[in-house]
Amino acid sequence: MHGSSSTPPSGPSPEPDGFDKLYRDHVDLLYRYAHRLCGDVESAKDLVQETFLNAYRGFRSFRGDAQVSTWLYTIASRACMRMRRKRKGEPDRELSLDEFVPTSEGEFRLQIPMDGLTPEEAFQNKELREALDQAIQKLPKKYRMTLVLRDMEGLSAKEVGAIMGATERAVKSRLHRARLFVRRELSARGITRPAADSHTPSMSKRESTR
Amino acid sequence: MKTRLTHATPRADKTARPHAHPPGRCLRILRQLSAYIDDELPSRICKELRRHLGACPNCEVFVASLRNTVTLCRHRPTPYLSASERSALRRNILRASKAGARLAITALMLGAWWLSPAVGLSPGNLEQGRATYERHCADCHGSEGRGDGKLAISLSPRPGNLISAHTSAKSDRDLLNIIANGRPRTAMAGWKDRLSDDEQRAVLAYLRSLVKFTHSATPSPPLQ
Repeated sequence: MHGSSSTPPSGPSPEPDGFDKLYRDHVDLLYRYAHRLCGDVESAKDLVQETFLNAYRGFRSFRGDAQVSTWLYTIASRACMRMRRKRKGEPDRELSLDEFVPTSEGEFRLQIPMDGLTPEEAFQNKELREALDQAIQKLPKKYRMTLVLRDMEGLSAKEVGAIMGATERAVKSRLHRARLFVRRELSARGITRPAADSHTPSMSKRESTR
Repeated sequence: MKTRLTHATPRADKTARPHAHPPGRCLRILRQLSAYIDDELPSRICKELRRHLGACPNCEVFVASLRNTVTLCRHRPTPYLSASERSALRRNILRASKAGARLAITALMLGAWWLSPAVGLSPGNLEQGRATYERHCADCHGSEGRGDGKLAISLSPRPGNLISAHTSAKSDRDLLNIIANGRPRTAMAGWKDRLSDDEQRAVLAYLRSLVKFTHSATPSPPLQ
């Protein structure tokens, strides 16, 4: 790309080229991660910038191999932990399983309106898209990070553990709570399209799953 | 900050009628649902769970909605950087890394030759900058430039974080302009009447020197 044009011609310095490659290969991945974590463009760019700045620092011993994305995820995650929250949201608290136990029939029955739709079709519904984003942003940071790394970035629990400095067990537990949280947020927002089967839920449920 | 609920099980009584299993069971099932969805449970437990779900419409709906949640997360499309944004970001990174690297004396490797060297970094300069900073700036911006000085809490908007990537990426000219003329609608007043040009530059040099990359924040890169 234009990388070559702004690389200085002088000096035997392998770093800018190597760094350019690191940047080129991973900027999209990091931006995607940052955007999912921060929820808005500007903070995401800040985080990407911060991450590459820090990466630059540890770059000299970098040789380039498959784990480099994990390394960058780690830097980004730590940088994100240090970032001040710009917007109001859930304070960093622990989520307890108990708070997700449905307390009423209605709460049990809350559904997410995507029966019979592919995810792509479901996301045509702008309201649903926004509700999902907001729910994720409302998660306390470490739960959000876990959910994003695991369910959105598709890393294994072990990798997430390495990135966040937590045990696999802790990752799974956080992930579960984060999912329950998002599920509750999504379903409780009333975007629930009254499904055709809402009058006889048990019967039609059975039909649809058998 | 524990949540206020310690035992929610008794509350599940309300659902007792169609939802026939004892409330304690509910929590136990709920605890395992993600592992169930992710197919991580031993087959025996999995079978047991499936049997329960088949008999309990409530739980079945619950699982379906949790599964949908995960599916949505997995497929949420994200915006991408445009080519121009990508290159602008790259420029910012190199520029900011130059500012930080000046101290590390690796600046020449960065080849950030497009920046005018407005700020010299002689030790005397830095010392003067530090003194000026401590006297005039630290109360708001904090002794380390994090925007957390003792007056910070009383200000709205809060004083800027001077060591953030955002600030680091600004050019010397932009920052000198802010130091000289202040920021509208904030507590940041212009200093051009109170500080000489040299003093302003020294403060800037000191600010740039505050940007350090904390080693602990950056794990060492993976080795082959």
